[in-house]
Amino acid sequence: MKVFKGLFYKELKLTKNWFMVGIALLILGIIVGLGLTKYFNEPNIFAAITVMILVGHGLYLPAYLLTSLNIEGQTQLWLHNPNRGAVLFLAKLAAGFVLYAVSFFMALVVALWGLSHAVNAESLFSLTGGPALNITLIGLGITLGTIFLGVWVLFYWSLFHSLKKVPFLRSIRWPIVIGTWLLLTAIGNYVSNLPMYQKLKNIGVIKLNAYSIEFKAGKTSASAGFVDNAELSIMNGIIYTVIIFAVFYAAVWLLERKVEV
Amino acid sequence: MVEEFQASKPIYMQIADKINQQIIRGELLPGNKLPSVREMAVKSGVNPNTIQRTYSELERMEIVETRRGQGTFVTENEGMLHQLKLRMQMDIIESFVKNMKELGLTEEDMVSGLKRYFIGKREI
Amino acid sequence: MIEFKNISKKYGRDSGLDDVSFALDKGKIYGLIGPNGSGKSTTLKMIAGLVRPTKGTVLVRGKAVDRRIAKDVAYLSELDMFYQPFTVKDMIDFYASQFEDFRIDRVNELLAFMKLDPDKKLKQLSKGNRGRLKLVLALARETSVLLLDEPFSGLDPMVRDSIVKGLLSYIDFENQTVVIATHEIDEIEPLLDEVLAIKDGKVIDRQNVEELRETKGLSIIQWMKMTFKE
Repeated sequence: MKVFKGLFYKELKLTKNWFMVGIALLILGIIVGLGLTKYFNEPNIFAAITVMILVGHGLYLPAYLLTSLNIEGQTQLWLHNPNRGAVLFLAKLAAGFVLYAVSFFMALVVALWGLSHAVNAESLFSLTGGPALNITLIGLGITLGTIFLGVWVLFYWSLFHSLKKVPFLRSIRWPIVIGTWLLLTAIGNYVSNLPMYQKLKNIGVIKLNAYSIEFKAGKTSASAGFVDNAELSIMNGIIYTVIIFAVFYAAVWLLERKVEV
Repeated sequence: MVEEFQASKPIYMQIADKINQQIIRGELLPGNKLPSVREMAVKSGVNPNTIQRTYSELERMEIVETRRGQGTFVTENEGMLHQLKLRMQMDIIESFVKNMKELGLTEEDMVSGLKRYFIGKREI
Repeated sequence: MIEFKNISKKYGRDSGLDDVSFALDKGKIYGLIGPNGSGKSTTLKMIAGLVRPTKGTVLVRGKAVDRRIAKDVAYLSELDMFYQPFTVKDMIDFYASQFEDFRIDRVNELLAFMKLDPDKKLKQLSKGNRGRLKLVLALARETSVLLLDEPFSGLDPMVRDSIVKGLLSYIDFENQTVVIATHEIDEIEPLLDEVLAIKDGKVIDRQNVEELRETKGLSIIQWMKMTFKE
């Protein structure tokens, strides 16, 4: 625990400024939104911007991890550490997640306020499920999405840095990383279109009967949009959980065995 | 500052020479404690193993003695210290004589040269 | 304590190390000397498990090395510290949390010795003081192996002196194996037991410092000039 705590606080100290910039951008977004709303006398602009900020939080953790990892990547001396690679990564994920949670909560409050002042906002909340369920689902979707993407960032970053010290591959590491991404995306698409996968997906579906955001994650990307009558598939959840663990351990494997100083 | 050492002689010997000089000049008295190996190493910027060797060498020469758990001390055997003084004198004279011989000077030349040197010194 | 068995490391067309074998004993201080780019840094990183050999095995205390050998090895990099927002104390707290053998009681002594202010931020420290801090972090640990990569490079004589004295005061010279990679040998010659000369990824010679003086009447610098001229 001492090890994790140490890594966690190191992480927060290292990215304090980054977090502050994020909050500043958030406030700037709100001010711009309010300004435009006043100028055009159109309350929906503000609501739209706040929802955009909220959904944009799906990229929070990946951006955070890239920043933090790039600080380490300058020298890679963080690898001079006797503790497991999984712990090194988990501390980054945890710290990033805490900052994400703070920023997301602020964005959520603002978005709710924006929506409640938007024209026809009642229609959103009068739809099935009510605001509480809707907000929970939206939050959950974006949060899962950002974690999912974050873990992929760990993987691609490790892959990129693994290639750095390998002769012949060094000069083409960008194409390799992009190629890997394309390949994995193609495999993902192929598998998710298999009839067997569709059948699997339909195991343990919960009809939420709510007007909600749909969390749709490809292997490498998450998209979110409003859909009617969202469903939650337990099997789908299990599959993605397995994928995320596999990707995480692949990233750790690369970090332990291939990334060099 | 870290000390400078001559290239031609092992460092442990150079440090031993230095300690011997201190003893002869009376800066280190019989029964005095020498610095610990580590202190000496830090003071002179030298590998502790080298200092260890210096102390072993001095012990072999019976100039110092190590008392268990207490450290290393200059011997209280005045006879040994007297011998040390004579030996160091001899060393210097030997190298002086050797150098003079290389210049082709005889024993008489050396003695008279020395006398002249000291007289000259006094006059100045 | 440390053993290299037929180690090769390739970096593209450049060879980092080329079929290098040697063994280093416990309780000795080794100098690793050679021109820039000769393979000194690669050798140290390999002992620290931060670079893996293309061929061969590195053993530390009889164990094949991987990254987690950091448990037994303290490594001082030639690179500057980069955790910009950290204070000296932050850095120490972080090290203390990561390394079980990190001795907090020793740190305060070391900080006083090196005259470092714990509340100063890293970016406010002079280069010399950052060099001193790196040494404090390495010496506060009780490891079997201590690796120093160019600990004097670019530092003024005052700092060099304090680093030499710090080293001598705090290494465990009976049990610790210390390896210092440097191209400025004159500062530390009296510090070393043995010297390994590296050139173009090969260990071309190895000498005991005192023996060299005894048998050939040469200092390491004189010997180096002869060795590297060929």
